[in-house]
Amino acid sequence: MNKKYTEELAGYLLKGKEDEAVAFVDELLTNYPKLYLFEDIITPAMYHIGVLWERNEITVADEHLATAVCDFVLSRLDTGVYVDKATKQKRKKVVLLGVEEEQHYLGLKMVASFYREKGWRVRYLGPNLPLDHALNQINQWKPDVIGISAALSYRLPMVKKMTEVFSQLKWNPAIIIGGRIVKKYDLSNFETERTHVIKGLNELEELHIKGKAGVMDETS
Amino acid sequence: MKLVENIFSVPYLIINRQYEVLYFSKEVEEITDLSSNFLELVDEGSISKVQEEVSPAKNKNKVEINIYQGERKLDPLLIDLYIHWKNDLQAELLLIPKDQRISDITVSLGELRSRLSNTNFELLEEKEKLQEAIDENNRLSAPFIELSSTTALVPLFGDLNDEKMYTISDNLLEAAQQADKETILVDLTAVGDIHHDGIVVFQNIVQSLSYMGIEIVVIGVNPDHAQKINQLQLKLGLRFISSLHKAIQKYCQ
Repeated sequence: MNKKYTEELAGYLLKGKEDEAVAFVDELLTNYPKLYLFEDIITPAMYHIGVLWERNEITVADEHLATAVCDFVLSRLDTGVYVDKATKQKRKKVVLLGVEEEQHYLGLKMVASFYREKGWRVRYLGPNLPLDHALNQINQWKPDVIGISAALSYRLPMVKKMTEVFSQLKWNPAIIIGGRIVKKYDLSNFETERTHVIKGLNELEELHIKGKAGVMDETS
Repeated sequence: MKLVENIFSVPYLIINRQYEVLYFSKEVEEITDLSSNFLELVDEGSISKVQEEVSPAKNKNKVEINIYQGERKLDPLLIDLYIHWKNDLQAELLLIPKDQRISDITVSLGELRSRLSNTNFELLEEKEKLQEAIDENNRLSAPFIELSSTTALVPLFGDLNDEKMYTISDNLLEAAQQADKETILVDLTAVGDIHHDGIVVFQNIVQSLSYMGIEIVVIGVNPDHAQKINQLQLKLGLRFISSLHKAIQKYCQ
């Protein structure tokens, strides 16, 4: 059943049918939570598209089109997220970024959506962000959590460097490393008390439920 | 591994079934660092694709793969790989980098996307500033003024909506408790529209105040407000007095 949904969505993405893709996702949203949609439908759909390329059935140009349509669908999903007006608590802040040269950003967008739905203030800085630029923004805004994403193994040294630099920040924000790189390589030696490696949105959710990100349960 | 001269000036290789490079053209070295095994040139994400597609069973084939650019650049290079098996043992490979224009387009699309997200970002910042201004404005819309030892006045300003009511509720309840008053006069003279959601939250505040033993007297209700409050058919349990003047006479003597 899952696979059927995934492949149907992948089909719309590859054909550039954004209206159909949005309608399909809206329909699924009536039965499933957003997290399930991200983790079990949209992400596998994009991985499926990667597999189609490996099978020589589509080209990189097709992949780019699918990415753009998927981006559109994610942006649509993100609008109208309800922020509870009655809450007086200071909202937590998260900064999300892809390392320099990294072009994969859909996962980050989903993480942004995940945090927005939690009522956090989100700064999504996008992919391919030079370290000094990122640091500048982070110093100004002082987020509670910094999310770093990377897909390809070439980025590993940069992820390491960013993690090191962000760990030195005075207010000691939690650092979360995610993206496909985490699924392919064992990054457990990056983990510290404040640095967490997560393999997907479900793990991120777990981290927050346990309050391990060190930020959820301080006030709530 | 031998250098061949007498072919087209394109990156060209002949490999065997173990992907070992037997012959190569010098153009290969312009796009990658040559290695004795073709698989070592291939990006890790494309290796299984090559193993699947570069096979004598598929006599002529064309696939897209990524190859390493050597030490000059970290990122892999996207190429079209044309495969022709001369016989069961040897295959000719042409490595044609993708049209530069495609990667140019990819780059400019990326730039457009980041501009959009920057604009989005700036809008978000402005929105947050505006939100802060509205919050501040809401906080100041219900000053708590002590009239006598038993009575306080709270004039409300602007539209009565839920957001504003939420913002003032904490301050109001706290001030009422600390000041230890018996009566609070709520003046609606400066209130514009009354929204349904706003009046619902207002009712909650009144309820909380009454639990604290405080009587609420609403003054300055104009005909519009009266209609609205009536239409909403809320049982507010309030006292109404027409003007501030009368209320002060009654409660502050």
